[in-house]
Amino acid sequence: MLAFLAMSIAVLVALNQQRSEIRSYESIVDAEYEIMANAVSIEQLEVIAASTIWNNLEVWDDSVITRNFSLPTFQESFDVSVSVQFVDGSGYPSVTPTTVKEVAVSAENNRYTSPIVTHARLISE
Amino acid sequence: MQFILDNISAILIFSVVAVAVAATQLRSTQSTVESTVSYMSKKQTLELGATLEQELKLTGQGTTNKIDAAIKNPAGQTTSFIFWRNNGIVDLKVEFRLVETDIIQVSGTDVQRYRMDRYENDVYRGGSAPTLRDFIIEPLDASGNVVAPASAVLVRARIRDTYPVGDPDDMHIGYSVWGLTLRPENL
Repeated sequence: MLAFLAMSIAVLVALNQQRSEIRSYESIVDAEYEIMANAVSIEQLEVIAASTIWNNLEVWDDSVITRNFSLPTFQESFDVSVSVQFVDGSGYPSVTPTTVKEVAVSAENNRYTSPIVTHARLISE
Repeated sequence: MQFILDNISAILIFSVVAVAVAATQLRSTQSTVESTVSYMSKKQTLELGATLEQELKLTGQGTTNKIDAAIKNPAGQTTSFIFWRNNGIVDLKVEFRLVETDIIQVSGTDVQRYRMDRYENDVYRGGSAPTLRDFIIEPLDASGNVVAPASAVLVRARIRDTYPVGDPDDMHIGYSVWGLTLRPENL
């Protein structure tokens, strides 16, 4: 009985250690994906800010763009969703037009069920 | 002999448990070392990224010169990125130059690694660790397409660093990435 107990404890310790190791690897991978998602989201924000005048920002609303985090030896794809809305002086959404628009981008990857990162930028008229 | 035979099952069970605990402990230590190596690589990558960001956003500041060159090798890596900025006294020509360092074998495949050297007016001024796998700096137009340096509105920088994972005789490579697209005020 004691021997069985001892072996059970040893197995549990080994399993626990394995689980902890897997969690550690997963958190490292998550951090890498977060950095890549940040990179493609910010790139999309910069492209919108550089290529579109304030009056036309709405053309990006509800759009989804596939952006690659590509390197010569590696590539990962992200779907970047864009939303554009008017905000008031405090940055809250406004149903009536104001002089400030909030452009928000979210990056998703099929490895995850929800957006990895969301970035927003306020752009004045 | 009689004692051993009387307690053979206890000895066997003790041995199995001892080996299991020792293996777990060894793996745990190895995992801690790998986590530390991974953390150090990430820290190193982020520091290099922060340096690139600080420097690239000053492109063209205080000078009429902007980006001189963004040259790639056949493998697609940026081997030379030359741009100008003013340090408050003189115009500085800054170059990020990629240099091949070593080739490591991972699962029978050659993996070329690089080092980024930084030059100011052709004088060596620091650089990265010799463990880079990928290094790209690209001039982009307003739509995010890669263009000639003279037409650049945005600059995209991406790097990927390597670090060893596992036993030396069964090693594989871990990667640490960083990337940013920025819009230098003076482009």
